[in-house]
Amino acid sequence: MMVGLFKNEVKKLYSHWRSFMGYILFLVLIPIIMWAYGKGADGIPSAFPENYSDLFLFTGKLNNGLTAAYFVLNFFWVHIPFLIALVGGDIFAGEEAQGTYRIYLTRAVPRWKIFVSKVLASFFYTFTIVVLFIIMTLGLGLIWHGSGDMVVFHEGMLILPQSEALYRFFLAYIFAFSNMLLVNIIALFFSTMVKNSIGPMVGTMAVIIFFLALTSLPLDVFDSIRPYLFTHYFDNWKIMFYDPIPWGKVVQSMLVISGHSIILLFAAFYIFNRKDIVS
Amino acid sequence: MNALQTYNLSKQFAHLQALDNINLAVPKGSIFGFLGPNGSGKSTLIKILTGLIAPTNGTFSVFEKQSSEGYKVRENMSALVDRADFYKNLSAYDNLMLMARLSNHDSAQNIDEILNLVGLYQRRHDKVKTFSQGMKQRLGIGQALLPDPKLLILDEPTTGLDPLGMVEVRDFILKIAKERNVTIFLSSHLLHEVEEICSHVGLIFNGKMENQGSIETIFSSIDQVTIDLEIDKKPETVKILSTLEGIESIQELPNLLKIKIKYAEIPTLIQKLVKDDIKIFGISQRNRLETFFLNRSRDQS
Amino acid sequence: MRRLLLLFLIISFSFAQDDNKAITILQGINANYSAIQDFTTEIKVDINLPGFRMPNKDVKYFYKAPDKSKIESKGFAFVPKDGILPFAELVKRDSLKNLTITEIIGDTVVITLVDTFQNQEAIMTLKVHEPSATIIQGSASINNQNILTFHIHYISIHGIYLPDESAIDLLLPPDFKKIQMLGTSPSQAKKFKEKIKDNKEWVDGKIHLKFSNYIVNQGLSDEIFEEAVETVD
Repeated sequence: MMVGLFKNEVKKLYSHWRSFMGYILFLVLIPIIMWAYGKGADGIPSAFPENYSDLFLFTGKLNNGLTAAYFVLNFFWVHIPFLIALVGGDIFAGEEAQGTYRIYLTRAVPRWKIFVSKVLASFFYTFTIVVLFIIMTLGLGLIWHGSGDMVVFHEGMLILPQSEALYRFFLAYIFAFSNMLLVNIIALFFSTMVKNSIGPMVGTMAVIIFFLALTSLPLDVFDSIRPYLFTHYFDNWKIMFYDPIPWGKVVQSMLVISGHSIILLFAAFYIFNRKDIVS
Repeated sequence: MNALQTYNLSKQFAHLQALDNINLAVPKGSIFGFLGPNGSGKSTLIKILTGLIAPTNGTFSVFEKQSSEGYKVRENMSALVDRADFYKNLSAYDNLMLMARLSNHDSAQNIDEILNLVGLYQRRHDKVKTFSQGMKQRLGIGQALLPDPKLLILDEPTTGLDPLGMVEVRDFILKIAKERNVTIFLSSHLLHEVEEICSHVGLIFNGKMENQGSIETIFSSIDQVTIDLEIDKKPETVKILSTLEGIESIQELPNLLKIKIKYAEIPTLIQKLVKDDIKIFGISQRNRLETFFLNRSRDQS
Repeated sequence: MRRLLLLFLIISFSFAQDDNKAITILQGINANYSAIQDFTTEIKVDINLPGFRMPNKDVKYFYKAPDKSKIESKGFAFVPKDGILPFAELVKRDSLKNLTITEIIGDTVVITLVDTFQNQEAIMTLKVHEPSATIIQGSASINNQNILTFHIHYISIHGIYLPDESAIDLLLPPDFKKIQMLGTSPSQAKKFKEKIKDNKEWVDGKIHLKFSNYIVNQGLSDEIFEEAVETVD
């Protein structure tokens, strides 16, 4: 039964054109960025003053596919949430707006199964978006610009050897994926509360922007609350590229993100399960 | 055994008591007409039975499966609630496939059979957003039949249909009730429709059950009826009628007489007029159920 | 009068002897370098610059006289030129500005001169081990600010002295500290900026090179250097 319900939700999800926006965006925009990166990046990070290039002999290039993928991830991680919210916000609210709850919820199927199938379908979408992103950045980057050591920024410049880069990317993508799942859950949560899809999308982005502002503004007054804001850990995928990887911070981040996710998921289920469908 | 039984079912919305201790019994195999004015609680009751709304108090059972068993109470039941709305970017076939998966009736054969039954097989691959409201209603009835239910709840099934469509749906309801042995719980505003096809009727006013029973029982409680009489000699007819018993009022209209008369006295009236050489061009009786309904509405207000 | 003239002549001769000694020493170093037609070596590079981190690298170094050099490594790497054949161009020149022997300690001679370094006039100090004609320590100062210091330990390979181990101290301008702000959050960057605002100290960086597996004068082909040609300073 769950497989059938999941198939249903995936079918419904992909019957909307908006579900393909993210894929189209990545398929068109990322290759352009990758191509432009290849044209514009210098061989040596520009942080080095020019004079010092007289003192040294260099070999290898830092502007390779790995650095390009890092660069694009750095840029895109703020934008991907919008694509997630676009779809996640419609999962519940869209049904209520269309009136299809009146045929879908009147069957002999417990609401928790329908809730789980919707959540899984939404997670599946998030997963495919992230996978496509990985293919278009890392995959295309490696094909186009080759491999090599990569330069990342952590309290200065850090050169990471090629042998470590791939597994660090793997960890970073897992981390980024968990962040995107949280964005998805926030959109789902709002979606259970309202009857149109626009509200959850806008609400999710508003929440993210608001908390990102509290996280990023260089004002000491917010220092005490930052560790409790999920956006404080939003770009913590970068710590997978630190040397050494601060595993304590990783665990802390995952706990906070998971905590937020679980609480919001249960809240969404509570709302959906007890909801009266009156119209 | 009753197909559907409610026990003191109540629903409170904020400041509105939408349903107040509803005790309803729908006999197995019947076509039960559920009547009530707008805002009387018909849709609220149907939404409780179909799991869209939770009751504030009370329980119900469907073929002896209790509402306390949660979703399992709906195992023998299917419904079309309000207007038929579907996933408009999907085809008719895909919509039915979605619904079929909810009840493990997702074979292509089953779906084709339903599409044929509701006359939409030729349009099965067209997106529902291209359908007229009538087609959507038919598809709605189709999705309700997919799980092969024993109790079928239809909330205003002829909404949006043209007169031909309405007749088709009525015939369809009768057919499936007979051929598939399905108990039908039908909520409708169209009293003549209910009188035509229903074996049992229940009336709800202001969230309370007013009356329920077989159609004969209901009709037998209807003492007086109104008939329209089309005759040639109006003044003579009025004179004759004034001598008869059981006539409460006579209203003269340009081409006919509207007579309020005891139901049992109608044959006597006809015999008398024929005997007195009055030519009767036409005699029609206002829908008895309508009469009953209007009388009850008046009593309530 | 004659005594004064004699004293003048003795002092002048002494100075002339010093200049000549310095030139001779530099010529000795040049002779050591000139004996090298080509060589390859493997270098373990350990770089320690504030705000810049790189894992230890294994680099292969190629040199062919008079001025071709190249490195190869898995991934990105760099090595300081002065840590390998220090002042190789300088010691070839006939005339050098302000060339003086400032100190003699046993068989070690300290020579100073003025030359161009990083396009600026710099005071170069060379500590030379006379018997081996090798520069065991060197530094460059610009406007009284030490820019570069290196210590080199040599080994002899077929009579040619080549570095075994080099330790290079780089002094980078105060602005170089800003590189440490890369990758920090805006609040952290703000705090860091406040911290370094009045700090005008130059930044100390260290590079350590360990040489091994020398192959000297085996006839390297020019093709090796065709992809990237670098000059040895």
